Amino acid sequence: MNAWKYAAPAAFYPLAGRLWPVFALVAAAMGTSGLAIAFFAAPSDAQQGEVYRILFIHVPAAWMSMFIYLLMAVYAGLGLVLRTRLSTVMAQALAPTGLMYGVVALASGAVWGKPTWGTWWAWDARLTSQVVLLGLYLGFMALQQAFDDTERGERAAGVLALVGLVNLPIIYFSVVWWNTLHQGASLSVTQGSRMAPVMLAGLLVMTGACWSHAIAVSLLRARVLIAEREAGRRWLHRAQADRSAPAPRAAAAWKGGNA
Amino acid sequence: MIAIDWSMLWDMGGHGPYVWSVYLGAMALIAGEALALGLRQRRARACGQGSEAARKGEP
Repeated sequence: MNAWKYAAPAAFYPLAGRLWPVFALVAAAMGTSGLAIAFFAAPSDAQQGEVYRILFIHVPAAWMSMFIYLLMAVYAGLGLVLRTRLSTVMAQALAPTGLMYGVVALASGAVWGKPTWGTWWAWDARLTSQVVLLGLYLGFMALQQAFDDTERGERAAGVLALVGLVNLPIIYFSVVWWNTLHQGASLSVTQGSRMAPVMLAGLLVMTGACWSHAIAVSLLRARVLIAEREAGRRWLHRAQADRSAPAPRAAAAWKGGNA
Repeated sequence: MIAIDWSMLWDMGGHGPYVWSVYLGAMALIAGEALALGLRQRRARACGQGSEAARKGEP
């Protein structure tokens, strides 16, 4: 099987159409299980009581906002270097979902901060670098739309995405490099977990749900973007009329530009 | 069968408003994003199928 053929929008479009419902179902199943663990199986926290349960959405959302930015920058970089259309489409498809997770992380952190820190907000290194991440997402999305020439907009946004990568280690290590109000990592690759196993299980299941949701939504958005860009192409007309159109036929029908 | 204390679950030791506003807010954002995407997909589909180029059968 030649996986590279899916770099062509005509081949990717039907594949994404088949995959996104699968990931949406997985996200729903994992989300339900994760919430059940979070609210019914996980015990109260010894110090924070019940309010710590915000962790089960706050931490996965914060992780997702960083992972999605990394993915978005990789796709944007590939689009800059290889000039592949699908790369820029994928970068564009990931940005709103990453922004949404960033907003969820900041908002849930603020609501968690009020009862635990006594304040909704502090100009703490972790919180500030997370706000910068939101600014980078907004800048990326705005730059793509800021030029009459779409390709120029995509190039400018791609450069911003790559430059913004420097913010990711700053977010991750901010609690190590500076004295912050935000607590350190409860889960570390090198030091393992400092959480109770059932809490860790709930956190990992919710993270899986967020990943599946992000993949489903990004695939669906990539389809919409391809449909908008390729409007009027015969292969798209056929693929939309026959959802079960096999990918190779659609790929063969596509004659436009580079992949 | 596990007996669930619903009033305890709602109250969350006095922190219910914080916890539930976070989860309901996140669910609303996720649902809103999905709804907006669904509407955009319908619009893109309608535009694509009705376009002049599609009717002329350009590749």
